[in-house]
Amino acid sequence: MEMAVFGSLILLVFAVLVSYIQRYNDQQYVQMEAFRRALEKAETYSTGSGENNNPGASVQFTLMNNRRYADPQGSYGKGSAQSVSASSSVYWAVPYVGKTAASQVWYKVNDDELTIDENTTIDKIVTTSTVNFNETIAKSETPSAIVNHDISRLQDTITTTAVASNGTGFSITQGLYVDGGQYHYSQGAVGQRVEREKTWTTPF
Amino acid sequence: MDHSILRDKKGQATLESAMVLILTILMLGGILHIWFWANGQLVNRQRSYQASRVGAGQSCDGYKLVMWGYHPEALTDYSVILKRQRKSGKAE
Repeated sequence: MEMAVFGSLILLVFAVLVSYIQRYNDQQYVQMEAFRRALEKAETYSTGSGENNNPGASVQFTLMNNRRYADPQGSYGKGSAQSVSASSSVYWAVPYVGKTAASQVWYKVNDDELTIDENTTIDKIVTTSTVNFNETIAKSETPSAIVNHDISRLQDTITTTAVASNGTGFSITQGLYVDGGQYHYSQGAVGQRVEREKTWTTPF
Repeated sequence: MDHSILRDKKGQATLESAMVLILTILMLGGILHIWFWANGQLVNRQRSYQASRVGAGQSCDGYKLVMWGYHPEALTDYSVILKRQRKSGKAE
């Protein structure tokens, strides 16, 4: 009885802590990554060659990542969808005398990167998600053990739409896939289904 | 009629609480270790990030994206369970 009460409370606190640290970890990561990617875009920007080659640029880089976090209350392998984002501005240019540095606006939404016109003002970003999830749990009893087999199938499609005042925003649709045990979203993975399974045996 | 042999025995609640307290403390210890592991990741990754700043800020031909190359150590049973003794008998 005591263990049931204390254990539940402790696990609840634990779930909150894990969720918090996971979010904090990802937020810090995207901030660092956004800055380094902005540096790269600024440093490698060029407009041509010779006199016209304007080395460097002023870059605004926005990184948006969709994640699936551990969710102890959810079904096996489903997780809960979360979004983290960060933006960084870098001016790294040595323009020729009398010229100004180019200005670039980049977005990286999960695995896919795109640039938009520097004069475009994004008013809002809307994300919609379509999730198909099903879980099959099979239990078989033998004279020596109980064998449980759990399979979950998850298909998640996210559409990120940047609405611009002049109508030149962007819309990108991405699907969920797993690489190295981590969930990712990519345009190339639309329609893919992530399948996870586990089997455990309880001997008598 | 209750035939439990534990009924009306003095100290049962204290005994149960004592046993549960041990398990609770062990569980808290494991949770703390997971927390330290996660916290250590943030600190060590920040250290790698800071160490790679100079390289990331140097312009050169063929400049490539400079990340920090930090790979966190895996969270193992050993990191979670309170400093248990290994089979060899050596404590770590």
